[in-house]
Amino acid sequence: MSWNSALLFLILASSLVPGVMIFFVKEESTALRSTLNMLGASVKLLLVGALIWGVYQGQTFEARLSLLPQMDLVLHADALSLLFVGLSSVLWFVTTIYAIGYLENSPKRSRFFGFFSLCVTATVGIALSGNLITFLIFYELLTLATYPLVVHRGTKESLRAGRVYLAYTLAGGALLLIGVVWLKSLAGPLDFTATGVLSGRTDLDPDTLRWIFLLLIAGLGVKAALVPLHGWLPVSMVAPAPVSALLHAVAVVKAGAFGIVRVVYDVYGVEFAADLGVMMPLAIAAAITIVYGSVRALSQDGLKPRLAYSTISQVSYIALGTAIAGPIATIGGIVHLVHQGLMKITLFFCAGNLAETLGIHRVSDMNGVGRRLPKTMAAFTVAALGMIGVPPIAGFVSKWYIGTGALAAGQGWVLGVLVTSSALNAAYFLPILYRAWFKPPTGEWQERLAPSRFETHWMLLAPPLVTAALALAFGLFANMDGSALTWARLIAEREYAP
Amino acid sequence: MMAYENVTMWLLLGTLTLPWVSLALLTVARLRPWVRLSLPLTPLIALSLAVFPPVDSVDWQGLLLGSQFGLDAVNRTFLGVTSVAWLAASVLATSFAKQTSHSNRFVVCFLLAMAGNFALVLSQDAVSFYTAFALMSLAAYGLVNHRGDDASVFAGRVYIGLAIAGELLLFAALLGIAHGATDLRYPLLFETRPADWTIACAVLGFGIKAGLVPLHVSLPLAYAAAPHPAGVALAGAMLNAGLLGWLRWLPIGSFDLSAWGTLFVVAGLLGTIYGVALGVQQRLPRALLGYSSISQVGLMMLFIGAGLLAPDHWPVVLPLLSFFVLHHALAKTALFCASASGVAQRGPRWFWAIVLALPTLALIGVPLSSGFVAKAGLKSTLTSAAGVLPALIPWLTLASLGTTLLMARWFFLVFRAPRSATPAAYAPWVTLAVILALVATPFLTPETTVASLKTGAAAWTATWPVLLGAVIAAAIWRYRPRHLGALVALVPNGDIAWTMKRWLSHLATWIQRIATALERFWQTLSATLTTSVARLWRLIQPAPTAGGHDNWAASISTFLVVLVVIALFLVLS
Repeated sequence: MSWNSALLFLILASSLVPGVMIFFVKEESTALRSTLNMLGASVKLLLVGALIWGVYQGQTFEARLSLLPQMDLVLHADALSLLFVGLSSVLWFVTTIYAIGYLENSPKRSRFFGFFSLCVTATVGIALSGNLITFLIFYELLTLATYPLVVHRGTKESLRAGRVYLAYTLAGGALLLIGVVWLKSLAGPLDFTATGVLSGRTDLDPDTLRWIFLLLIAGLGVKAALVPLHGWLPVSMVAPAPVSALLHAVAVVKAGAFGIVRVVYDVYGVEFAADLGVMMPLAIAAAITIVYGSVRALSQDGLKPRLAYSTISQVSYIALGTAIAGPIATIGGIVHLVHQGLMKITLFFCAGNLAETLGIHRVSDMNGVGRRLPKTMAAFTVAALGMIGVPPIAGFVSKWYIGTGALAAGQGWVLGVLVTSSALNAAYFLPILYRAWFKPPTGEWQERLAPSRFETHWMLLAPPLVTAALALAFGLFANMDGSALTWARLIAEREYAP
Repeated sequence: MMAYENVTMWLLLGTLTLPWVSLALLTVARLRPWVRLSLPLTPLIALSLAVFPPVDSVDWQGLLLGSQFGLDAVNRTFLGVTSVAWLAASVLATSFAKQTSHSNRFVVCFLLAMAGNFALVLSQDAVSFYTAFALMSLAAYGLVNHRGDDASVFAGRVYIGLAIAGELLLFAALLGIAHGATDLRYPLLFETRPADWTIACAVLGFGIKAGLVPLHVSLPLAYAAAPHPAGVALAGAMLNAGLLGWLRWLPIGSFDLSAWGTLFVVAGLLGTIYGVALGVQQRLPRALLGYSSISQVGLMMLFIGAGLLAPDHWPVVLPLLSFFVLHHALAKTALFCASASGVAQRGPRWFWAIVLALPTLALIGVPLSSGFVAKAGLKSTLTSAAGVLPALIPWLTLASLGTTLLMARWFFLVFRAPRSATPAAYAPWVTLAVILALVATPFLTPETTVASLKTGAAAWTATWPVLLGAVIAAAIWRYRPRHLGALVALVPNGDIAWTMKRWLSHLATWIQRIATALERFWQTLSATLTTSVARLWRLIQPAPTAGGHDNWAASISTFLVVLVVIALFLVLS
């Protein structure tokens, strides 16, 4: 095995091995567990850095293992997978810090961190998958690895949430499985190829391909929380904050959205899919989800449920950008994969800080928290404004590309969706900011004193500050080399046949 | 000895970055008093930049989608008035911020709004402009609703609602413009004629900031609610951002847009009357100034209308409009400083009566004042334009009469206030300084002033409405007719905002209802789904489980078995 293919396995191992080891760590050995966690996260970060450097130098990275006859496990690093792998390893690093701080002195930490690492392994596997079969395997592994995290607290409510979560995701997984099996039996190996492995295949019946597309998208749409497949997401809000952060920003919903991107671009090929006529329904489904999620978010008083509905809405921007079927909109959809991740993880970190430091769970209890947690709320403000699409925060760049892309593709109606959704986003985020900064403090949390010299534990404070700064930087310096935007431009260039 | 271009480049960079340095320094508690004291520094640098324009612009390709900042024929005047207004505002703020509660929040919002305002004036491309405009608009909310009393909360709500609506309209307009443009820098923005919906979005979006009737409501409310330094910035500087936006984002002078030109003229005339009619009814001098701004922007819209109707004339019209903007912004800044901080309550009354008469006379446009030159410019614009525009000249006389009444009312309100009020720190000096600048303005362009004075008829047409207005005002003051008293405060400050509030609360109720209905629908559906899935579950896995753990372990193993079976099927097929 060459160094190049070994690197891909090492990246997987950097979270798998610590994850498995953590299961055997005694509950009291916090230091050992934290060391393993941070070691894994740091090593992964370094390895991913090496991978990106290598791809930048023009090397190819592919590893092929024969799983069963005619069925290979393929790991592969292309521009799109690097984007997702980079995002998940950076966000995993900050979330690990946050989780260590958040779960200090809570029970069953070894189990938690074990599954936490497995979950990241599955996500990275999804990102690096080189064909649809490999993708499917990691996609199912992700379901299994996240379930214990959702039910972590073990309360009646979280067990119920876990059941709902499993029911949805396993059903979705089954649909995806049927779709993949069907497609593979028709079309042979399904290696992801820029411009699509199916495009140009005239020997396949277009109607069958449409049905398979429906199955695949329905299967992926469960995790991507496309309406009406989104029911699990608000329910699984009972999970601890770091899990919600990971679920909403990197792992589960992103895996679904990433899958949609892969299926559209690298399996069907975007132009071929547009010819099949399957893009318009997908765009409409995404548009409905965007508006529906925002409308539902309006009436949530719980902070985390409000953010959950916001996720449903925001993740569908990725699907929308993908479905518009034009190179500029593609950039918008792909770049939102990163931008939404940064902004949403910030919001969940902040929600976790409010809950953990002051015991605040509801928006109506947030009066005046800006005075008590100024840095947390500053990060929250940046992320919330970014979600609305206020420049120069990253969300604006996504909306800009989706909007101009829609106009370039002659789909002006998308503009209406963008404006409506932004207005609704403002309607449910601005009142939070107003309460936090402009209302006088009320509520019993005022008596709780700061435990340390920072407004809260530094492990809880640093992660949202870092991610908010990144969300701001990715918007402010969007045109600079190394931003998510320049990377997304590179991907879009390759996905359209010259 | 540094070369001129180096010095001016440093001034440009300083204007753009200094507010951010101040914001960064605010994080250190010990430095906060110094940051407060240094607030006037940025506007001072900006003012010197306007006097000594830089040769080049700064190009930051990495910033946003590629940004450029610099000065050109359009924005130099805007930079000048913006910096004067912010200078006045920040001198007042140095003392205000020391004594107010929520001082840090105020300073942060003040600096952010200032940073946005200067960046938008200097920006040379549409995306930077939009970004800076958003920054200014949103940050100014913190200034409008600084006090947090009922009036400020209401003003803030109206303000932010309209500001967000404006942002969304401008976002749509920006996308429309970008769709037709290959380059978003200004000279290249309009290679093709933008679609009408794009123009409509830009007109309305900036109209919210500039006080286009009927989107004007936040203006008088915000002016009355904001603390006086912020009010000065709103009235003297931020209002002009909307106007500059029109100049930047509408293809004036490039295409024949006569329909839009007519619309601008009609809306301008409407705004002129509307502002006066509602302004004279106000009881707060600052709200009155808000309505006066609406009326004056109406006049400025006539310039733009003329430019849209006759694109060839635009190069001649633009400098005339710039002078009008300069004159109006200076006069408004002076009037606002005077009415906001109670300067007329201290010192000899006769002195302040004379001094404060100067900006009111300028706004009315008596001979030798800046307003006279500005209105002469408007007159020549209308005269040289084709079509119905020359017929509008008598209208200007009527507008002067209206402004006279409005200013008389302002004078009355300011001097009627109780003498006990102590003027805000520095306010008398700031007011005097701005008035001095205003008085000097006509002499900045002596040849135009002289030319406008040469025709005695012009001087007389400008004078008689003022005299008539003064006589009417004096008569009202002397006799105080009873039925006029009933007219005053017939319409509250913020006029249609109160009606809009009612409509919006209806709308909100409806959205809430829809959301609840959706929620209920979804709950029923998902409950049905979950129970049926649960039933299926029991079929597959009949053994009852005690704890949650066994439950998930069993389900996972079941699933794995299914997975393997299907995989085998796949291989065998």
